[in-house]
This record gives sequence, structure tokens and C-alpha cells, in this order.
Amino acid sequence: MDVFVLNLLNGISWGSILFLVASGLSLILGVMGILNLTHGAMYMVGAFVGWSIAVQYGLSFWLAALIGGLSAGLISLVIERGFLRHLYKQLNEQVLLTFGLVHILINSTIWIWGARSRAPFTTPFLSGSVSIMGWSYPMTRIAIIVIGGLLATGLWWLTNKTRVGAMVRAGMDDREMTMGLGINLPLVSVGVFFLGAFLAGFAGVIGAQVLGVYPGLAMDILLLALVVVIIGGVGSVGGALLGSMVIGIVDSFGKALFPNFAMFTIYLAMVVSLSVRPRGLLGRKI
Amino acid sequence: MRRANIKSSARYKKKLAHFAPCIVGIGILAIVPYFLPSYLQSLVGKVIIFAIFAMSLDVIFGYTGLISLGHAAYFGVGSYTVGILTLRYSVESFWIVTPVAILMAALVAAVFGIIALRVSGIYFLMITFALGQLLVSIAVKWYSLTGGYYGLSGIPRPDFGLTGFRWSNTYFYYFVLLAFVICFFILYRFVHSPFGLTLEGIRENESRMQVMGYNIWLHKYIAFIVSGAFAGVAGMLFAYHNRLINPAHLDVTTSTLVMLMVILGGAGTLYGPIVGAALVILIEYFAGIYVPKRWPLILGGVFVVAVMYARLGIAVQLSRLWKRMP
Amino acid sequence: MKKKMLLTKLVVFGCIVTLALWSLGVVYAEKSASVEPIKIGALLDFTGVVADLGPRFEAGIKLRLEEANYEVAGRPIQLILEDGGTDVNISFDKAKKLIERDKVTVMIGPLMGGIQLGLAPYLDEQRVLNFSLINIEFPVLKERSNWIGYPGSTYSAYKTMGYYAYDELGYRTMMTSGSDYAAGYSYLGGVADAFKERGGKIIEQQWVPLGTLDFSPYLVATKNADAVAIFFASAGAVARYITQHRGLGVKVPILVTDISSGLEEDTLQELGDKVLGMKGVDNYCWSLKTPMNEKFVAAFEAKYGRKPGGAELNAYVDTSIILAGLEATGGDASFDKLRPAILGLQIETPQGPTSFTPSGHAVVNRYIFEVKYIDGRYVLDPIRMYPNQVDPRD
Repeated sequence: MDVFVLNLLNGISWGSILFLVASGLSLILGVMGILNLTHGAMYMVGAFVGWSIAVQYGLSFWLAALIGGLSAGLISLVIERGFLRHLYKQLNEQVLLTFGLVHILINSTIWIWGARSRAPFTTPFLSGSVSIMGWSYPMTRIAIIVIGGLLATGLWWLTNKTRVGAMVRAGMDDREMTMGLGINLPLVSVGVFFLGAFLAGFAGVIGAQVLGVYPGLAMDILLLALVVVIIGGVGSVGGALLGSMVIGIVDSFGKALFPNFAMFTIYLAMVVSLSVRPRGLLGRKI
Repeated sequence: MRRANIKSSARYKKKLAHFAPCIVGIGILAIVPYFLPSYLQSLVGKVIIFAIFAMSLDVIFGYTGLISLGHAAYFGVGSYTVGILTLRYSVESFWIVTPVAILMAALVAAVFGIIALRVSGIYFLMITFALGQLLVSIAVKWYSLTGGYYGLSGIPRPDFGLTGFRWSNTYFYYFVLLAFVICFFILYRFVHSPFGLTLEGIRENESRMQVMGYNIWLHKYIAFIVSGAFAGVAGMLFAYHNRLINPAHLDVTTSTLVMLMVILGGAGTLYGPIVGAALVILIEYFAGIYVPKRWPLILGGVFVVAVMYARLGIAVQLSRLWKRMP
Repeated sequence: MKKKMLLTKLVVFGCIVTLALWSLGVVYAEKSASVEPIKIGALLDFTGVVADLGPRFEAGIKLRLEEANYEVAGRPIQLILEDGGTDVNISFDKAKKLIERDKVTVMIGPLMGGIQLGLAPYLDEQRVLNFSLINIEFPVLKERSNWIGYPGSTYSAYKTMGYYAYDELGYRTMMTSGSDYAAGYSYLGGVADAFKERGGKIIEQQWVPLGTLDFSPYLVATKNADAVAIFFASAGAVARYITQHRGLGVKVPILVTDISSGLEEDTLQELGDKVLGMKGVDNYCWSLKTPMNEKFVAAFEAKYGRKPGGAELNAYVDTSIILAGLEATGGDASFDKLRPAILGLQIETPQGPTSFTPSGHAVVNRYIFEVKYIDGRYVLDPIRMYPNQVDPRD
């Protein structure tokens, strides 16, 4: 029983990290119709920048998370304004462009920081553990779950209870009509883009407490975020949350029970989900 | 009587003008072994193989307008079939291995096509991606059949069953060139046939074609299979050429690379992908010599430049220039 | 009129294509037109998963070549470096370039076992003398005749830890947790077999997929053994495993194989107290106390400003072996002369004496290390030496 609970907690904490990344990806896809493959790279950039701030310069962990998020957000803004803006609704061009940018981002990161993996790091306050059913469970994971929950609540409130959120949802449903109502949708879209990237970069530092920091994160995280968005649904915070929890928990239990089939089941799940219900469990139509 | 003669000779001249670049190009490729060393013949051979691969993608992407992000799956199936038959089952004869490889690629395309064509747009893109990666995960895990993560090495050159025949790099180069000419000829006829024109119609305006009574799904499906089959041909050649294959050849990085070749060269034309393949592989070659550690950076840059500034394709731009010149 | 224009255009087109192809040839010629030095190729990884190792191997090779003044037996030496990208396809292309274009007959690398397996048929065919940078997979060594396996085979590399665990630490049960690929099976297989040889019992062998970020499902499933022996493909994975192991409060002590890489300098300092007292096995750490090593460490630190790790040492010794072999052949770098000369060598290296078995397996010392805190730094302190390790299948 205790093993079950531990695996469940691991799954939820893993899912929380995924949620932070996938929610941004999902919103960007839903609002702007852009499949942003650089999203995983934003996680990586945030993680490396956060590492520099927290470990290399020894400053506050939370400051590192903030700056990690900001760097990711800023870089994404440049990408959007400089490149993606011109590719509205041109799907394959977006894919190729962002794929190319991922190569550039990963290689630049290696150029600046070197390719060496960094060990997981955290703030002193969270370096202890709590006792759960006879095992000690690291506080970092509990913190991740808490932060994930807070952000989920915040995002839900933002999209469902604020005017901006209403604009975003309206823009996802009917772009022309929304703009026709005089709403500055492009500005809102850029804001969403920035927020999504910020969350990814922020997640990079939060997640580093467990995963550490290395260049391959850009692709590893992207893949999982894509699966979450596909299964959970596009453009919906609830979908991203549901999808992340499903993937996080299945992955944790799957690793423990069926270690050999991890990757295969993920792709199979993607194929099944896309053929049976393309828009995902809670997604909006795009 | 005289008028008919003038007309046919004018058309003949036009056809000659149209095909002349092809003939000249193939002519030069044919004499490559006379002025390039064996190591570089191999490189040009690789360009030719990827040209076939890129042309195959162009059928489904450029002509039919479907964005497939898992095209390397069929390429890889072609390669792996060759590898598995020759190394795991000791079937050496070219006359068995090659048809089976192409058939397997077409078969996989047939199966995947049914699944993928249920959806369209971004979902089609994602599902073709997932299907390709599904094959990758199988290739990685099924060590006994596929050699796992590091793949199969030591694939022999094709065995025609001719006694006393020994392969050299140059002979193999001509073999690849011959295959390319055949493929190009078949694909050319295919895309310029009524079927091919219908595909372009579907790309331009699907609903109109539907109203006109064409079976859209069937056209897309057949194009998908043809596209997969020729990708399989390229894969088969690649296995013989490289003699080493692994899951990377099934992977999304290969799929995006060939997609880049098509877009960079010019989609929806058959010669565009050829030019694109040559450009990408040559850039890779030179980058490997001068800035080896930064190759991924340059590759990324090429992606960005291709998308932002060479959207129509370099070959297309050049051919417009060509036609505009007196 | 029209015909002439068409002809002109065709000629221009033809010239452009020919020029493009010819440019390949020019670059090709440019590079290979040089005086005949001895060409040593190095296929290292500067990009990709193990990209951090490439520069470290390079450092070791260059130090040794500098000490030799880039010449041996009266002939100058040319080192040609290529990036294999930790990818079998890239490595293959680069290997082809080194062999067919640059005409090297001696090659250091490739590093990764799977890449070695992938390239093996080609390298064998081309009669190139290949040196492994870290332990080689024994089948590659045995089935091919063109490899020198320094410091040894993956299977034999860490057997000594199995012996040590039973004999000196008094452990009777053990489990292993390792990366799910060939090297993992060999390294931990060797440890397990050695432990069983002494009478110990292996309770379980966990295999973790490469690239796993979250080890908690495996840690939670850790059995109640006296120790868990680990091998993971990257220092990052080792650091994650240890951190998560400590975080979950798992009681079973960790034995680290490949400890000099798994707990390399920076990672060791970062992990700090988490690994204090941890023991492991490897063929080298800068802390070894031989006069030759102290000289080596001093020279390395003077040139690069940091301590050498196992990677640097292996590359350094590989180069020393090549140079010693070339001394013996009088500068003849051909495969048929150089290989037998090297097999007959007996040389001193910073980590101890080295000789070779007829199949090319190096015979070296292996050491057990313990993490201690000395003079304000965490160090790997050598506490036991096992000499002359070989692969029983040799």
C-alpha cells in the first residue's frame, strides 16, 4: 500500500511539472494556432539560466525560477515577433521553423554552458523530507505538487473568471468575431504566448529540483508535453491538467510495472487518442 | 501538310527545351566518377538517394498538400527490410530482397494511411508523427530483429547472383543513378497524369473537387501509398549504400530533414526536392569540415532561412529566372 | 535564334552543376595535399549526449602529444579530430572521412559501445587500428582483429567491486540498478558474477531505460539487499539517482561503478555530503599516489587549470600506447606492423603498469575508492588496489 501511495505521489509530482509546461503549449496552440516546438527548449533555457543564478552565483532559488521564466518569455517574444508572426496559420512552416529554432537553441545552450549535466538543486528550505507511511519523501516533490496546484488554480481563474480570460476563450472559438468586437486579439495572443513560455521556463527551474539540468531536456520535455496536449485536449487548462496527471501517473506506475514498454505505449496512446478523439479529452476544436 | 510539320517540330523543340536541363544534369552526374574520387562519389550517391526520398514526399506533400511528419517511417521500413533479410535471415538475393522491401514500405503506408487519413490538418501532422515514432520505439526495443538502438551494420552490397561480379564504389554509384532515373521517370509520369492533376486540384481546393464528384479519400490514400513506396525505394537503396541503419532513420529528425529538402528546393515540382536534397547534404558536408561542432546551429539556421525567405523553394525561384531569360 | 539561346542557357546550367561538384573535389584535394606525417585520427563526441567527454579526451591526447613534441621516431605527427556527435550515423560519416579522405591508419575512438558495434564491420574491413577510450565490449574485441581495448573490457572492468563487496565489506546480498543497454549489462554483469563467485546472492537486477529522468519508481522498488551496485550512462543520471535515493530515504547503501566518471569533479562537489562515505570502483582518479601520477596531474593542471579525470587519463594513455608502439616500429604506422608491436608492449602509466593480451585486452590495475572530505574538498580516496585485471573469456 505504501508503495502505491509513493508511486501515486511521484506520478502527481511528475504530472505537475508536465502541467506547467503543457498548459503553456496548449494555450498557445489554442489561442494562436501555433504549434510551438520550441516550448521544450524554453524549459531547458529556464533551467540553465536558473542553474546559473541559483548554483553558479548562489542567489535565491525563487529568484532563479523567476528569472528563468523571464528569459524564456523574452526569447519566445523575440521568436514570435521576429518569425512566427509572419507564419499565421501556415502549419508546416511553423513546424519547420520552430524545429530549426530548437536546434539553434540547444546548440547555443551547449555553447554557453557546456554540455555537462547539472545535478538537481533546490532552496535550503526544501532540502529536507517528510515522513510518509514509513518512507521519507523529499520536500522538493511536495513543493512541486503545491506549486502545480497553485498555478492550476491561478490559470483556471485567469481563463474563466477574468475579462482577459474571456477574451482568450472567445478568440479561440471565433477569431474574426472577437476581433470584430474591437478586442485587440493580437495583443492578447502575444500576452498568452509570453505567459506560456514564462511558465515553461519557470517549470524548468522548479523541475530541476528533481530532474536536474541538461540540454536534452528540450526534446524530452517537448515530447511529453505534446502527448499531454494531444490526450488532454488543446486550448484548455483543464485538459492540460487532466492530461498531465494521466501521463504522470501512468508513467510512474508504468515504469514500475512495465519497464520495457514506456515509449511504445506513449506513442500508441497518441495514435489512439488522435484517431478516436482528435481534440483530446477536454479540448476545444481548432 | 506543311503546317502540321511546323506544329509538331515546334512542340518537339519545346519539349526538348523543357527536358534539356534534365538531360544535361543526368549527363553530368553520369560522368561524375571521372572527376571525383571514390569517397565523394559516395556523397553524390547519398544526394541522389535522398533526392528520391524527397521526391516521394513531394507527391504527398507538394502535390496533394498533406503535411506528413512521419515520412521517414516508410524510408526506414525499406532500409530495415533489406537489413533484416540479409543479416537476420541470410536472404542475399537482390531479386527477392528489393521487391519485398518496397512492398513492405507500401504495406506500412497502406496501414498507416487508413489510420492517418481519418483526420486532417494539424491532427494529421501529429498522427503521422506519432505513427513514425511508434515504429522507432519498436525498432529500438526489438533487439533480436532490428539490432535495437544501434541498429544493423555490415549490410552487404546487392547480390545479383552474377558470378565473378565484385562491387566497387563506382559501380554502386551507377546503380544508384540508374535507380534514380527510373524513379524520376515513373514519378514524372505519375504527377503529370490525370491522377496527378487531380491531386493538385485537391491541394488547391478540396471542397470543389468533392463537388465535382472525385473520390477525395481514395485519391489521397493512393497518393499516400505511392509516396510511401518510393520512400521505401530510397530506403532500400540507402541500406545498400550506407550498410548501416538504425532507428534514427525512422525518426522525426529524418522526417523533418526530408521535409526541409522539399521546402527548400520547392514543393510541388519534382525537380525542387532534388535541388533541396543536394543543397542540404552539401551544406551538411561543408559544415562538417569547417565548423563541425556548430553543425546543428547551421542546420537550424537553414531551417529558419528556408521557411522565412525561400518559401517557394530555391529551385522554383531559379526556374522562374530561367524562363524569364530570353 | 531561339536554339542558340537555349544552347547558351544549357551550357551555363551545365557549368554551374559541374562547378558545384568540382568544388567538392577542390576542398577534398586542399585538405589531403600535405607532407607525409603520421596521421592519428580521433573520433570523439563534442555534441550529443556525451558531449562533455569529447573535450576531456581531447585534453588528454593533446597533453601527451605536446609532451612528445608532436613527433615520434623522427616523424612528425598530425592529429585529426572529428566530432562523432554521439550518433552512430554521424560517427560513421566522420570515420569514413578520416579513413578514406585523411588516410589515417590509427584511430582513437569511437567511444560508445553501440557505435563501436555499428562501425565495426567497416573499420575491420579498412584495417584501421582502433583504440577504445573507455572499456570495450568484449565481443567487439574478440570478433574483430583491429581493436586495442584500453583500459579493458566492460565485463571485466568492475568485477573487483563484486569481490570487494563480499570480501572486505562483508555483504552477502546485493542488487544492481543500471542503464538498460549493452554497457550496463556488461558492467553490472561483471560485478554480479564476481559477487556470486564468492558466494554472494544477487537479489534483483533493475534495468532503467536510458534517459530516465525520474528514478523514484525504481527506488521505491529497491529490495532489502546489503547494497545496490549502480551504473548509469551519464554523470547526470548518477547524480539524479543519488539525489532521489537520498531524498526518498532509501536505506540500502550505494556502490558506484565507474565512480570516477559518475562522480566526476564538479558533480562530486555539487553532491557533497550526499555521497560522503560512498564507495566505488574505477581505474583512475587523480588522487592516486604514484610518482608518475603526481607528475601527470601537475602537468595537466598547469596546462588546463583543473584536475584530470578518468576520461583524460584514458586518452592520455591511449596516446602513450600509440607513441610507444610507433617507437617500436621505427615510425611505421601500418596496421600489420603497428598492432603486433603494441601487443608486445609493457609500459608504465600514471595509473599503474599496462600490458596486453593477444586479443588486445589491456591488463591494468583497478582501484576501490571512497568519498572523503579532505582539505576542504570532497575527494575520491583510493583504498584498495586490484592488479592485472583480465576478462575470463579471453
